[in-house]
Amino acid sequence: MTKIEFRNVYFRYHEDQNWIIEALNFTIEPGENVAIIGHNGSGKSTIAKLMMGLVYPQKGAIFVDGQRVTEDHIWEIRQKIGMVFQNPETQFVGTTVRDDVAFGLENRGVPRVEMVDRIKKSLIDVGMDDYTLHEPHHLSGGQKQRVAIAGVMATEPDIVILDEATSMLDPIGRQEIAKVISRIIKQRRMTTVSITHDVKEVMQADRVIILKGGELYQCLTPRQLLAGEYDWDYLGLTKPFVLSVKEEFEKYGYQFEHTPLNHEELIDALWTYYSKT
Amino acid sequence: MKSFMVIGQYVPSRSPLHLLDPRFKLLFIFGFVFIVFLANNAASYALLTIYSFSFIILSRLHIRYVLKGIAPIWFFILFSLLFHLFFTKEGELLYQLGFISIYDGGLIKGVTISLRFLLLIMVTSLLTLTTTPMEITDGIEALLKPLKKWKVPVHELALMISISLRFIPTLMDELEKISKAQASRGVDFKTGSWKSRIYAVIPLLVPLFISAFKRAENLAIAMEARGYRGDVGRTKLRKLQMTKLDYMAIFVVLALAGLFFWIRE
Amino acid sequence: MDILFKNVNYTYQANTPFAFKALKNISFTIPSGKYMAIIGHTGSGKSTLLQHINGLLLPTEGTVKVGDYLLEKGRKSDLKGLRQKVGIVFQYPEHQLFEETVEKDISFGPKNFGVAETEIKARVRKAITDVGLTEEILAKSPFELSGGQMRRVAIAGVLAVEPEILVLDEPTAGLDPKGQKEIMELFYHLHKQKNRTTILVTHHMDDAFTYADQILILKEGAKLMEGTPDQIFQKRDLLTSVQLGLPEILAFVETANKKFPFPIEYNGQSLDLLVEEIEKKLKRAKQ
Repeated sequence: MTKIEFRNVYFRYHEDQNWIIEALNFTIEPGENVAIIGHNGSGKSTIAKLMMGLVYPQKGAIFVDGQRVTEDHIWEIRQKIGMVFQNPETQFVGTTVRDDVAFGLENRGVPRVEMVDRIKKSLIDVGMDDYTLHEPHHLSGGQKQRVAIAGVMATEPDIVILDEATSMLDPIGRQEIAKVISRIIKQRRMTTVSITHDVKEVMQADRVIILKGGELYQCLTPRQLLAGEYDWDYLGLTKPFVLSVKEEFEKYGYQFEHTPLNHEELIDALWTYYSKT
Repeated sequence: MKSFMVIGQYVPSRSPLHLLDPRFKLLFIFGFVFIVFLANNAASYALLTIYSFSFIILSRLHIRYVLKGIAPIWFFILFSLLFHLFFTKEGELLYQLGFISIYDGGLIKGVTISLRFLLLIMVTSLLTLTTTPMEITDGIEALLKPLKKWKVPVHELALMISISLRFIPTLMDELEKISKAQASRGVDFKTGSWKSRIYAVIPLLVPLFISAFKRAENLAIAMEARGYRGDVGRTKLRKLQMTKLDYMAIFVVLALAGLFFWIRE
Repeated sequence: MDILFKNVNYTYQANTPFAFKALKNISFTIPSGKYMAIIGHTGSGKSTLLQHINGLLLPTEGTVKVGDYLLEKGRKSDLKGLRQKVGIVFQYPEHQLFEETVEKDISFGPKNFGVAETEIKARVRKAITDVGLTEEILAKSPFELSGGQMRRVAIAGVLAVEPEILVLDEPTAGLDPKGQKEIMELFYHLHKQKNRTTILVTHHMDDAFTYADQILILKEGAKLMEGTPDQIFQKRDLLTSVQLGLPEILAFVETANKKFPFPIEYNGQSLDLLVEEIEKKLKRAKQ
């Protein structure tokens, strides 16, 4: 389990550009599951690139597991982090499922015998062990994303970054992938950073970091997020349905002790409200 | 959804030919090309034909499937046969009808040249039919390894080939999608003058290139994120290992070659 | 223009070992001026179906009629004429942009269909405002725009042909929630304003139920059900079986029905009406 720290980080691609990331400070504790949200252009995808040392800040410093992310240490740091991209198609290197899962292990110099073992295990974990020799372009979007996850998990990272990992899938694919990811993350107690537009994913996080124009706007729990007055469009999220229902009931004078996170909590709250009064 | 098929596309199976080491298969093809040109009498041609068809049987592919696979080549084979038949005027006159005259020299040349051609294509297509592109790449990498001493970037070369292989079907899909989108915007690829047809390609190629570049950029980022740093400290999953089967095959092939040299004049 | 599918079958790579039956005996009608949603999983045959509407694919068996155009195997039809009447916005339409300027790219369609130069100019300006962009953008290269702007330009390129039928294949894929809502509203507005037949291919149940007059659900290449949103609600069990995920309001009603001792009916009423009904029942249950 590994900690991530951003200390007063500034970043932009060109000097004549505005800062994409500006004076950013936050800490993600070991084992935490943090969602990063913000509308398009808020700088949230750049954060993932900064953590992985795919780009470096002009000012400030980033620390992963106590080690500063610099070019000298980048290979050690990348060993600890795995990243699942939005489009699984873009990260496929191998011509078969097995070859692709192997890629990260080959890069890390894992001995062949251990490699075979880890590939098998991680493919079983994501339910793709029947597809070992399949070619990537014959797989569905959801299957490709499973293979990508297996590729990341096989390298046994301490930190997983999910960069809108489910956004290109259909609703069922999305649900299934979300389930697979959360099961594996719990099993392995990994630190998780998910960059997302999906309200449901946000609700499952321990903490939510809201970005606004490259700056940290707020850092709160999902429940606090629902309790607050936010412009949901501005957050890059769909207004949660449960919130709309809650507001309708409030028109009739209902008061909720806690902000409900989902349908079950809302309905329970309504029922309790009754039984009491 | 593919609506076309590639010549010599790999067909999965576990036949002896499939299981052979790709290095051996590559060297074999190399040798076979020479051998075919050394055939010089009826018996040696017959022998090569028997060899080639036995290889097909060993591959457990349908002979018809293999022959159909080389369909585009049939035209050239037939063409060289007819060309020599009608235009080579050597040896005795066999048959004459009006201005058509056939000599036995022409007949022999036509038959042997087209037979050579056929056997070469058939056996080479067996390589791609029974070996995955990846194995071929590994084979090439292994065979070229000695060149590393002279700073030839063998690993990078092999990676380039394998990534291209992985992206061909993706780009094909992409091309199909783009062409459908442009067809819906009124582009006509099938009729019109040559000039207009060439112009019709621009709306296909520009988006395809843009998408290929974008993919390359994303892939580079993803590869880096997955820890790729060139040949440094790398291990490999796929390992080529000669098995008993390969040693047996070497023995058999040498024996067959011996028989061939004994039988030719 | 009415659209009529009659016993349509489509098989990819027919008569080869790779043959794959993508559409199985599909029949339905879309009357002129309607908004139809076609829903299904990835691989349910949605994309194959939509390609039949402008003759990109011809049925292996059966017939497709679009207005006066009859499409069937082996028949030569005036596909260009048809494609002028049927505009398709494909998934990620920005991938088809290729010209140097936005103006040229939007003009590309109308030009191919032989629209007069002066007329094209007017249409381009109309199309760009229709998609919510300003004329300043016309001189720019499409490749220096943001993702959302590129999507709109590509859509304008289809609108400039002024098709009578508009087919939309997952038009909001990859956009953020705000962008998704805006694009869906834009198409709904165009549909209402011009009474243009609109066909939305999607896996978003919520969009289908919000905008469509008629819904067609596909499963594994066959028609599972067809009807108005209200009619589809009645067959909730069947709807759950496609595993497309219920519209959220339905999922909410379902959870409520499990907990509350009184039944709640949902027939497509709006959220405030639904809450009013539940509130009344809760009050009554208390007494």
